[in-house]
Amino acid sequence: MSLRTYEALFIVSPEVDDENIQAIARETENLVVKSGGAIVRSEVWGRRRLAYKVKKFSEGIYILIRFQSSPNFIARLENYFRLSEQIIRYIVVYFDEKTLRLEAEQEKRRQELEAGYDPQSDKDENLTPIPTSIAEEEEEEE
Amino acid sequence: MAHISAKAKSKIRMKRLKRRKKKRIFRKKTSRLTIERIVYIDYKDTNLLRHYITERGKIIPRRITGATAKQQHMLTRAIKLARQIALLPFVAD
Repeated sequence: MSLRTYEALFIVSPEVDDENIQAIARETENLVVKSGGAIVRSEVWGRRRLAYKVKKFSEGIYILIRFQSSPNFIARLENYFRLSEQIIRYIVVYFDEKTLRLEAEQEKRRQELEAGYDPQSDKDENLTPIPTSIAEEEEEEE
Repeated sequence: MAHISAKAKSKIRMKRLKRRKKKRIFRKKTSRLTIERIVYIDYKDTNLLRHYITERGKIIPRRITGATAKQQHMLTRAIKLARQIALLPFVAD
């Protein structure tokens, strides 16, 4: 079974302390690895305010894990998220080849921009805005 | 019946055409996405996405923002994903 790239972003209840957050992150990673997948990136964003209340909490700890696994594994992962008492919200996003390519391109451009590269100097006809002057309204007289 | 010469008739028609044309002139908008050459919009990038929702949390139509169809597609998807994971509000007030 070929591997696909996914990203799981989930919110841990704010009542969980720091050590246990790390433990949850490790546990999820282990789950991926045990199923024959590989972790690409794992980040703990930390405590963030939620845009709306989830399970009556107005903040939560975000954890992001990007991994490669077989598509069959996703149902199991989601089941794990659903059953976990500490995880209050999750999403799993599939990244197809095209999206990954675009994302890499975007990252490259972002870095170029930071390095002081001016996108305006780029000679791409499609990207230059076309200014059209607004015609003055003339008075019509008989 | 009043006698209207062919010349006068055409003059009136031309005037009408001219008026109609004038109203349709507009300036082409270019979104910041195009200027900054953004090719991928991530659902986690709330700072960017916030520019494309109203204060109430609605997605701003592209006739206002000037985003291309492609960009709007990506924006919509990103905003909807961000809402699911409480990065952006469904409704805000």
